[in-house]
Amino acid sequence: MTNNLEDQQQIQTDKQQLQQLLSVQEKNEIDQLLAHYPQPGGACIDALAIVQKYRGWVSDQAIAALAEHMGISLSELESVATFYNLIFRLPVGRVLMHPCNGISCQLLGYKKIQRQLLCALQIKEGETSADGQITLISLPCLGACDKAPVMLVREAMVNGLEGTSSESLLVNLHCSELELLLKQFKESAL
Amino acid sequence: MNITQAPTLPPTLPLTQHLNLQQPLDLPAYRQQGGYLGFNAALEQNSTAVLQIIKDSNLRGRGGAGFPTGMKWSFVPAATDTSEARYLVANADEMEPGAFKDRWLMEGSPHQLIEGMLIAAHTICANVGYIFLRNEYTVAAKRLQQAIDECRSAGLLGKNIQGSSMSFDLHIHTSAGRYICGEETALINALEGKRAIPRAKPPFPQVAGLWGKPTIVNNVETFYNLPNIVLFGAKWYQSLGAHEDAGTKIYGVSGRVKHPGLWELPMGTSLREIIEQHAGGMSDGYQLRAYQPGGGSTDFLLPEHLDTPMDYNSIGAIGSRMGTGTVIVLDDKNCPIDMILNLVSFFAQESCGWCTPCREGLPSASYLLAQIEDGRGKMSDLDYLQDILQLVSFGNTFCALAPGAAEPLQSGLKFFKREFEQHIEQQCCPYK
Repeated sequence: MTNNLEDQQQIQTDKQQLQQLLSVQEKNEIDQLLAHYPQPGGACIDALAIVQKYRGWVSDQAIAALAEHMGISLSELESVATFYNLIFRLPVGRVLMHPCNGISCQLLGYKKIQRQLLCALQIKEGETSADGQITLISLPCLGACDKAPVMLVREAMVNGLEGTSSESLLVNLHCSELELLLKQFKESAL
Repeated sequence: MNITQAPTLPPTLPLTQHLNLQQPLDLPAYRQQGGYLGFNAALEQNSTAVLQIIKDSNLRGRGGAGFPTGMKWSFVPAATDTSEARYLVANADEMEPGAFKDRWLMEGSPHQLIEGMLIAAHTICANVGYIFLRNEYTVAAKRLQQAIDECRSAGLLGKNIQGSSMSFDLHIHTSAGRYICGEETALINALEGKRAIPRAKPPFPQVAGLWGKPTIVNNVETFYNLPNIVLFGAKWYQSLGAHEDAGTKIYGVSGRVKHPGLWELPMGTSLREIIEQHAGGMSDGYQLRAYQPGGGSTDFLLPEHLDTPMDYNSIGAIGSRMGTGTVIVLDDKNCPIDMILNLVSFFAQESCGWCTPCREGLPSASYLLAQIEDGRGKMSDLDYLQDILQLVSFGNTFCALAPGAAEPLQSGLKFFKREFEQHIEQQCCPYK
């Protein structure tokens, strides 16, 4: 009996610690979204995205904390978290670069762009640069086929990467590492 | 309430009449231009009357399958209890390779989507709506949210809309990137917070969809058609089409053409007019080799098919599908095998893994295509690819993802037979 009680207490403490893992702001944002659905499961992608917004990625602990906060099962939430391309279960860099590998972008030179970027960053597809700053993950058709080839950088669409317009990248991004990278990219493209 | 005089003349471009990509119209400006008059007209009629107009208009779903919208709605059981939840979902998870029309519409005219959804909600007595939006469409998300907020403040969303008994609230649900979410029943699972795997039908979503309640899922572009159909009637709408199907359609072209882009044109405009006139023809130095008429999951067509009207039946009759109506052009300097490899790899990656033919068949096809493209192919691989096509054909798979993936492969094996053989004989890609 004593053991059981201790176990119960331990579980309670664990639960409290898990709850504390989420910030007040994260909880508030999640609770607002929970109101949109008759059942809490409906908000789980949004909740994962909120955690990711503040932490860059979604750790095992964060998933446990979310499940606890939302009152859904851990395995259910985990199965959703691993299903989607844009929920990151490993740390990613500060800047995410998503060249589009959709067919329209490939027809206009995606492969060359990807090769040059990976070469400049000295990484493979899906990896993060050694300084931990930039992660490159190609994404399927970004829905900007008339401006192909395109790349999504920090939620901003960079259009018409073929030719000289990579300059527009430099203007839009205030990130010294990226500027350096893009300089190299531009030089190698010439 | 902001009353505006009903326009006497119907618009020539009913889908894009309010489109402004730089700065979409806010609620007052949208109303100034006749916005929400279609919804008002619907609200004045009972839902049966509105349903009849939509049925008579012959509007067909713009997501790709072309199912008649009115018929789809008519499967929703009559509402006996207005407090019972019924759902309406806009499928804005545009992930078909080469499709970019829904983003354009939502960014340029967010209020018209809401107006279309309000009309649909009134017709099927839905009280909650979701816009199932692709994660990467952040500009559309912001603009739609702003439009929703405006509507809520103006009493166009919420309880007792415009003083009527209708209640409807609308939320944006942002997805996290999976092509399968575009499949109606997988989308419903995703909305419920489950892994997005398709459901068995029956029960059909119209009867038991989201959380077991009656649910209608329509493509974004379908909703854009509704306001003007209600305002100007089924006859007018039918008269817009250039061939068999009714209305106008957003057509697009991407690839090596002079002016890639999107245009609202009469339904049934010929492929030649779309590619040569509106997209300006091929870029200098490039020849048209083949094209997919309606996105990545549609069979290739050849230059000899250019005079076919772009509508559901005509494109179906020559062995492909109109799909999303966004044409992907293959030029003579890109390798057709590499194009098919890109498409099949995409579908293999996006397979949800639920049924074996899709989960196992598509990666095998992708592997074989990569072998051939990289110069390690064998002639027997071509037979093996044919076997896989059989494996993933309709009836053998749980949903339409794998049969869709098979379309560019089956037509590619037919039209680019010589190229396949060249790759294998020369043990290299002749285009590199």
